[in-house]
Amino acid sequence: MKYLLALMLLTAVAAAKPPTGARAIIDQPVAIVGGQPIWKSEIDDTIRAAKAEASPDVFQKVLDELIETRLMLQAADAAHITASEQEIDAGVQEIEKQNNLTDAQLDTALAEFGYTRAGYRAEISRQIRIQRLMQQELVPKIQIRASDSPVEFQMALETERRKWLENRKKMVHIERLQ
Amino acid sequence: MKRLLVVLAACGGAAPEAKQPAPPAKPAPAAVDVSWDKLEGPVKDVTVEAADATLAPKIQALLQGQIGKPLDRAALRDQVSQVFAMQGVGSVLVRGIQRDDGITLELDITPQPTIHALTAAQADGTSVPLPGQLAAANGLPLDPVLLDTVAGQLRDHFVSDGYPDAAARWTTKPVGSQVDVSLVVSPGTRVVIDHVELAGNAHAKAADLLKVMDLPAGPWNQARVDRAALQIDTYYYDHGYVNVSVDTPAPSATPKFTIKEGDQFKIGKLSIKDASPADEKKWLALLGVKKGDVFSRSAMTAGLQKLQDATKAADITPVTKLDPAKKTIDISFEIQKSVSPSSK
Repeated sequence: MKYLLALMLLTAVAAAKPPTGARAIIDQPVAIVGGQPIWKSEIDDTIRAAKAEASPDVFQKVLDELIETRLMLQAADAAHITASEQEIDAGVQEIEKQNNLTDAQLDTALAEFGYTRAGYRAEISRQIRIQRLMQQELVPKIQIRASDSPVEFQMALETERRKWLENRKKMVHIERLQ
Repeated sequence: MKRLLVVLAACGGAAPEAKQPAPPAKPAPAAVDVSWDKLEGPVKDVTVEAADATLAPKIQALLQGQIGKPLDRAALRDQVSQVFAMQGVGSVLVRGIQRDDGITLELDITPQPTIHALTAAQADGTSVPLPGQLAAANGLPLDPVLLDTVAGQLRDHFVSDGYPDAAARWTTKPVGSQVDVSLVVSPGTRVVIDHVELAGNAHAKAADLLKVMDLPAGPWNQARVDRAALQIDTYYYDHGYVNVSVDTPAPSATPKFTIKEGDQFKIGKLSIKDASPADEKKWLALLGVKKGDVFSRSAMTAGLQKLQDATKAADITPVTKLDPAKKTIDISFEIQKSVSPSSK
């Protein structure tokens, strides 16, 4: 029985390998935002990281979110908003502390979601830049103080963010290819 | 783990350099035999299919680092984004071909199309004059950055003429190997201010506020409306109302600025940290404000400048403490001295 199982496994492995000459689309743009592409692989990676089930609805929802993220990053770039290596280090350390993780455990957790340390640092950099953009552009428009009422402040911030995004969408050329 | 998961879920790709979009007339991709994640082995080589022969060596050089490594879509994406940003590139399709000993990466480059015709109009069909930059665009390669800029200029033109919700977009339609470009402006509703209304100003005369607001009747101008709200804010700050808030109105012919004044505060104890009694007395006299005065931000700013000039301080930080019961503001000034070159 042991040999039969081994043979079955070998057969399965052999069947999984594509034949020489087989072709696959690895990546392609699914949208263009202000002249920059959003790639199919970005959507796949996001769905995989969220451990969500891929469906047309999920695809569109993730694409919408990536478009909005890209709009904010482009505005951050235009405003010369950056994140330093030290700030990214601090961000990583804070996440490790909050989750009670060592460096090695974080790497393991990232690998589970299909991310490398470099990719994760790039994502933290993006989040710092977006946060800074919101601090600069949106927070001054909010009358409520975060220290007085954190929940109301967050709701007001989200309202301002939506307004900002709707306005931005009127200004930036967005082309959906799928 | 919550924040880690949120961060992971939000993970997208790196923002590449701004560049040309894909042309709409993209041919259907070739038949695909397998899913990309079934391909096995390291990347063996990179081939490029492009009408512009000069692109292939540049792209192959850019992707050289992929050769010999396992297929890494995220790393590849960053580099292909750079290909996308190259002059003359309209779009990029990345394929993989299974070889006996690895994978061939094949980049199919769609060139940027040229403009066949360009028109600008309002959504109702009313023609809009083409801005100068685009007057002779026919035959030129599609330039999305220029089109975005021009669309923005058209929108700004309408917004400044009282159309706060104006939007301008451009679209393309394939015509053979070229594209027709349409710039379409949706002006929305025009808003013309008839008169301004105020609410909540129990301790300030409407005439005084309207004067500082400087918002005359005429087409809605969001920047002027925002500035008017700021001017109300400044007026109150200069009259001791340090907790004032002003709601900026939505576009309307009769915009109403709603004010929450809060309490009026007077200046409480004034002090200068780490100063001798003699210096403190001398410097506080320079401020031009004293205990018991109604707080004024402008007066305080002017006094701070005098203090800075007299002390030659690098910086002066006013640390304030509000007493809501007494309605006073205590201010302690922290003077940061300049470092003279000789003291280094």
